[in-house]
Amino acid sequence: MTLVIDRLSKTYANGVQALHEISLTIAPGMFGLLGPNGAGKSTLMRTIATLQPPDSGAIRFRDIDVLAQPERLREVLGYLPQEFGLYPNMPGEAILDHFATLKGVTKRGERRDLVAALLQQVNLYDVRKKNVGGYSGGMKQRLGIAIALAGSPKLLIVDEPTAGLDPTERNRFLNLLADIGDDVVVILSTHIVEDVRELCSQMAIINMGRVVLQGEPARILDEVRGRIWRRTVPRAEADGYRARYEVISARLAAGASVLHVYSAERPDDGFEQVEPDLEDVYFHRLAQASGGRVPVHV
Amino acid sequence: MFGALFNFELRSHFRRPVTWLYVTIMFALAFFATSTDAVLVGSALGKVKKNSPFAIAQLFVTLLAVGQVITGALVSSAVLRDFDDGVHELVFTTRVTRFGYLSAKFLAAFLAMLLVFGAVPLGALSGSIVPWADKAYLQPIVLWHYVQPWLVIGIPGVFFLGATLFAVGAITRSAFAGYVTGILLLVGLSVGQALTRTLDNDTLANLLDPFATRSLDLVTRYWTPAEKNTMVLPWSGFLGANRLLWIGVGAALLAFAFRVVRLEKDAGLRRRRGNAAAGATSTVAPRTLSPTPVVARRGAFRAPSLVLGWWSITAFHARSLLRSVPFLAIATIGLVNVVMSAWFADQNGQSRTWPMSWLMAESSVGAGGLFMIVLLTFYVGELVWRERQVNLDQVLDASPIRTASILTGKFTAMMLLLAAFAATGMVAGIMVQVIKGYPAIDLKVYLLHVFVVDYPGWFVMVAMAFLVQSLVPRKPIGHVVMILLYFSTVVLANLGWGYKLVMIGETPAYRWSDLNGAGPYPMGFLPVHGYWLSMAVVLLGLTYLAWQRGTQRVRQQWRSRLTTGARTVLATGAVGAGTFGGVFYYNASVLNRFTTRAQGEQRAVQYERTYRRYESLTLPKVVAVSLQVDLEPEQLTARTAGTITLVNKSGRSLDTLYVDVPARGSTMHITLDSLSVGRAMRTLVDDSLYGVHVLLLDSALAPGDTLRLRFVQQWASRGVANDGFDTRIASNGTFLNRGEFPSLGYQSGAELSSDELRRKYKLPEARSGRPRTDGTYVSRQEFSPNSDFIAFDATVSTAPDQIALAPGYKEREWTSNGRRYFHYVMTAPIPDFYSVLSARWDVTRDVWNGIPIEIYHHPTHTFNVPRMIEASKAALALFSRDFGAYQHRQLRILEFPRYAGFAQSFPNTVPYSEAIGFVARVDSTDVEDTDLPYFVTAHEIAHQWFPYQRMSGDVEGKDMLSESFAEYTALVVTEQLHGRPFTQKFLRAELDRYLRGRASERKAEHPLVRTYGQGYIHYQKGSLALFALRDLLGEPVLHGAIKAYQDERRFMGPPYGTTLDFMRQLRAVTPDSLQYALDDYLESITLWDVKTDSVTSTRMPSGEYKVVVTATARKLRADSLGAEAEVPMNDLVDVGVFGAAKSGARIGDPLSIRKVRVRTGTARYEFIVPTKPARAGIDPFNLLIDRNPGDNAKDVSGP
Repeated sequence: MTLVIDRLSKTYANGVQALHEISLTIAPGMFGLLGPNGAGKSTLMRTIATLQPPDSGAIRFRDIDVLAQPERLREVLGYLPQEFGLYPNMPGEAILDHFATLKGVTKRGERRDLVAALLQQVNLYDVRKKNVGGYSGGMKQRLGIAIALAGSPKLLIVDEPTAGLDPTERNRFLNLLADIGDDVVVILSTHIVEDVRELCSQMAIINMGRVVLQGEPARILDEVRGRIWRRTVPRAEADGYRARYEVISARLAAGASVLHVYSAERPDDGFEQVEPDLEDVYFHRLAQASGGRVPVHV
Repeated sequence: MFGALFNFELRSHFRRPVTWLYVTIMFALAFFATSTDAVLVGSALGKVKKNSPFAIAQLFVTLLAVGQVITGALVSSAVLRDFDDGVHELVFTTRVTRFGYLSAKFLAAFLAMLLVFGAVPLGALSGSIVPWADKAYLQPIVLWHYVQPWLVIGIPGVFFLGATLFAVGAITRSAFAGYVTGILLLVGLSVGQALTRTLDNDTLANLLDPFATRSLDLVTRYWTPAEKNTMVLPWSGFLGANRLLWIGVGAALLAFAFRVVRLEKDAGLRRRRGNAAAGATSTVAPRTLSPTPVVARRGAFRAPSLVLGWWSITAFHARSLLRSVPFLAIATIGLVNVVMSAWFADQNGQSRTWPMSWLMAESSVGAGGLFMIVLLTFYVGELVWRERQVNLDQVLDASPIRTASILTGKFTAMMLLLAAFAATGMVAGIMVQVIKGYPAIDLKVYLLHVFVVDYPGWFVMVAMAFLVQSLVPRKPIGHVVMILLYFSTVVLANLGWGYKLVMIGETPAYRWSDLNGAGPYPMGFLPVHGYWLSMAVVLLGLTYLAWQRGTQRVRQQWRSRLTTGARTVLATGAVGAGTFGGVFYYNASVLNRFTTRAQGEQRAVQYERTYRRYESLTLPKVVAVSLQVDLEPEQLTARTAGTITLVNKSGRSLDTLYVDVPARGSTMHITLDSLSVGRAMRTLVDDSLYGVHVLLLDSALAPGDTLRLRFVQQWASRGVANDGFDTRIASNGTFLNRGEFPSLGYQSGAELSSDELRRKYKLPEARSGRPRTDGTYVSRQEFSPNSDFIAFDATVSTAPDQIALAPGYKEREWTSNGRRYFHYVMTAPIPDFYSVLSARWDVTRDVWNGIPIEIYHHPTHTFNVPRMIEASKAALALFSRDFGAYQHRQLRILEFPRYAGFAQSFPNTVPYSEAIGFVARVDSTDVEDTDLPYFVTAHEIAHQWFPYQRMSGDVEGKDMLSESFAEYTALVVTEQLHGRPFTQKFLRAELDRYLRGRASERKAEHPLVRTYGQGYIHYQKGSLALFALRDLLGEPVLHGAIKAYQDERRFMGPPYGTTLDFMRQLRAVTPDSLQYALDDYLESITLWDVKTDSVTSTRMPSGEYKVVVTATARKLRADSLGAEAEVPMNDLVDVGVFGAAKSGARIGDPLSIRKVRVRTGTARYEFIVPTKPARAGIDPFNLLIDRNPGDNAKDVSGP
């Protein structure tokens, strides 16, 4: 029932190595894929979704050799890419109905019920006759997930689904994902740590085409528990701390810098220990992966 | 800010490859139009050089009108680029003002357009310099000839186009609107021309045309070659007015756009509506989620089957295209064009026809074709790129639908929409037919033409567009590739390489005839359609291999796509193409022969080089012909046999005979079974290719001796040729003309006649007419140099349900062996000119003065039968009264299929095409209608006198003695029916055609008495000149002279008549005071320029009206190339006052008219008329040859 990704590599024609021997085993349930922009998340997802071939490696889902039999995977696949549009001059219902057919829901009555149910579920039933050209970003995103969900996928891939959504829309969207059955492998790629923490039972962080970390979010937190320290310092002094400690994140608050530092012991008296969150793990691992430089700053 | 933005815009235009692509295309078109024959733009022909200011202006006008459709995207994309790239918000939040932004964009786009169209004069200039350009078509380069038209036509045209496209793009923010505008302009042009065809509407027609095509025509229509080569376009007049108007329209549109366009993204009207809809629904409260998730409700679905997936894609995309506004806009414009074309299809110059089903079907297919091309070019691009454009490709490609379903579904959607467009066009044609009051709708004719002949040809075009779009990296490149592909087929056709298996999308040859139905044409449907449909399968198979699935183009993908299924499809297509193509090739190139234009020319050259030396051979003369023709229309075969009786009239013994027999043509295989002379002989030349047989008699034919030449030929139409069929023998409507029977002597008519071609093949200079004093040629009659008047009889057999006809009187009719036999015997001497026809006819009979008149016509073509009978009676009455008795005891008019469109007079027999008289619809209220069925009938009957009672010699002026006489006398007959106002409109149309004819003369214009093969002289000028002379001399005098000419040697052999003989008779009866008119009209090329300056009318106390006319006149003589010199004028001209005109005429009845001596200069004329005058002026009947006939008379103003 699992998705096995085995030493997947991909180098683009322009020399960018997007995937570097990536191996992952993903069990049913929600799987969060974290990584900064350009880490290779979308490449990985498109490769799993049969949209582009890797240079080497293998992907298996259940009994399907994905690279050799892409058409078999597509029968059980739901995919929502990072950026997508819809036929602007067509009504939402017609588009969903069309994709339901393409995904094999070929019996008319069954399809009608499915489309109606999906539209209810994503709360677009009332606007189903309207052209999607007039939909807001959130409405389009919800119609996209309805398309991805049509046809009972066993593997659902959603790439950065919450980017650009307002908090209400984002909640509504994540609730939808949370309702998906337990026997479905759901891969959610995001660079928003929050999303993963709230939803995923498994996660991985990838950076520069490599898996940096993989595991259950709770276990991963254990790894850094007791080693995250916080201190608020004047902005001018932040660089000094950076030189001395492994500063994994720094953000501005009321004109001062709030620093998070990874350290086995309290760095100095000014620091207080904080309960780690995924963000800390994320930045810690990214910092490690990129040789100690802290990537994110205000 | 402006400067920076402008610079940036301009540089981005220069940096875009597509700009240079446009430049290259425009340059290439102009270059090849000037340097080769591959591209034909405009009508530079013969004496008009390709780099004359006229031809260059025409090139500009045409390329501007056509090129804007291709290059319009340059302007609209400039307007839209910021929106498409999403940088508009960045730009609009800078300090740039709206005016600055728009004007920078516009100016840059305008300059880029100037660059693109500036390639046209450069291309034309380079094309006239290159060494291989044929110098005969070019004159020494004058730079001003390129620059001046560019200033008058080019720059204002580019400004108008740029401004319009910019305004439309800025206001609608849609690239498609730009395309639609371009197409609309092009269609509007043709619609405007159709609406303003009437002769007096020049000013309006001129102004309605944004491309100035009409203006150019109006300015130069009567220019002679000399003028076209040297004169530059006048800045004022028609052109100036037109250019000023459209510059103004462009500026106004631009100003409007600057005023209304907002820079905010959502300013577009459509977007605003869309947001309102969405906004209204976003407030709906979220529903509770359904208790069970929809996903994982059951086991996995299987991918839809190939067919189900195909149909789902088909239905979805067909529906989606039907909801697309630009698609509907183009389709609507296309339909408007179809309706307009169908509406005017029944009008052809001076004649109107009934809206027959075949006419409507032809016009709807013809007018819709361009739009089918536009729709498929753009919308195949849309269909292929649709998901990638809206960013839905990943979703679609990750779904289990099979790639083959996507491709075939989109293909089917396109084909369905094209079918819908074609069907709608067909229905539009039917509606026009009903509205125009001819409800005999023959649905079969429509369906056959639209869906059996034409529609299947679009499959391969659409398949090709799919393949192109699936291979190119960007959609617009695909568009350009497709446009170049269409263009290449035009080039192939122009070069005469139009082989059906090479010209993509070719449809089989086809022509409907009510008599013969679809005739043999369906035989060609399967090979041609089968071939191209198979090619479509191959192209779709290749498209499948190339189709991109996923986000990356995979180079080796085609290998994995080459599955058994794909192999089967490709193989099936290839086998189909091979089979059908093979069948076609066997038909067109093995069974029959395909000749390119160059090969045709070489054949004529070869004939001339081989056999011209026999031209001077003295031969015995034909004195009698007896034919035995057995037609088998059911089999498309025939046996033609006959005996030609020859008498040696040369005065010396002759031993060599040169016999020319019909040789193969198109699908007709003609074999010579035997050729004998009843005595011993040897065959010197037996050339079946050219049908030349040279026989050497063992013992020479002594002077005065007789020889009987007996021939037997077999005719059989076999298979299909590239261009269709030889329809001389048809299932219903066989027409074997004189050329289908042997002749004696070398046939100079088969030589190449154009000066250019003769130079190209290094042949001696083209023949010109022989002078009228050349005794040898005066002794040869015009039809056949080796015949005099002959005796004639014919026995013809045909199918039992058909009537067969030949000149002469039916002596006997019988049936034998299931065939119907007719024997016709001619009693009067006739020229060596006869024909054999056979068809299933209805016969309508009447009698004039004991002479039976019979019309043999198709059962449903009864529209004009009574009119033809009336015309026959009137013509026989007038001609036998004025020109001598009718020599035959019977008159027959026979309808033949519309494979040709003429009427022709044989002795007592007049074949008349179904296309011209039989379906004509006479409307005497129409100011252009000149009652062609009546007129043409009278014209053909006139030929029974001219020249059949006195044949003319084969010298200059011979056509005046037949055609001018026939045209003039027929007009006199028609005038008896319709009156003088009718004659005015007839002559006005004749004048226009004469002036246009002389403007496009390829060699040299002759005076009427020396006309030689120049229709515009002996028809148009002939009727005009003789009618004017009738007015001056009086009808009895003129007709007396014609009769005296006839009487001089009626029915007599050589020497034959010349215009010298006629002029002698005419001069003798013309008073000295009018001799000048004979010089002006007949012996020279004279042009008058008369004009009514003013007309005033005052009511006098007596109740009468005093009318004062002032008019200016001058007279010019032209040489053969059109160079003119003024000569003093002192001529009798009508000046008159007229009452109100009735409908269908330009002038009313004359209230007062007098002939006055008019001298060069301005003069004043006074009239007193009893009732209110409506119109007055000089030469109101248009009897003077005047390039501005519209200003001869003026409406009367005042009380």
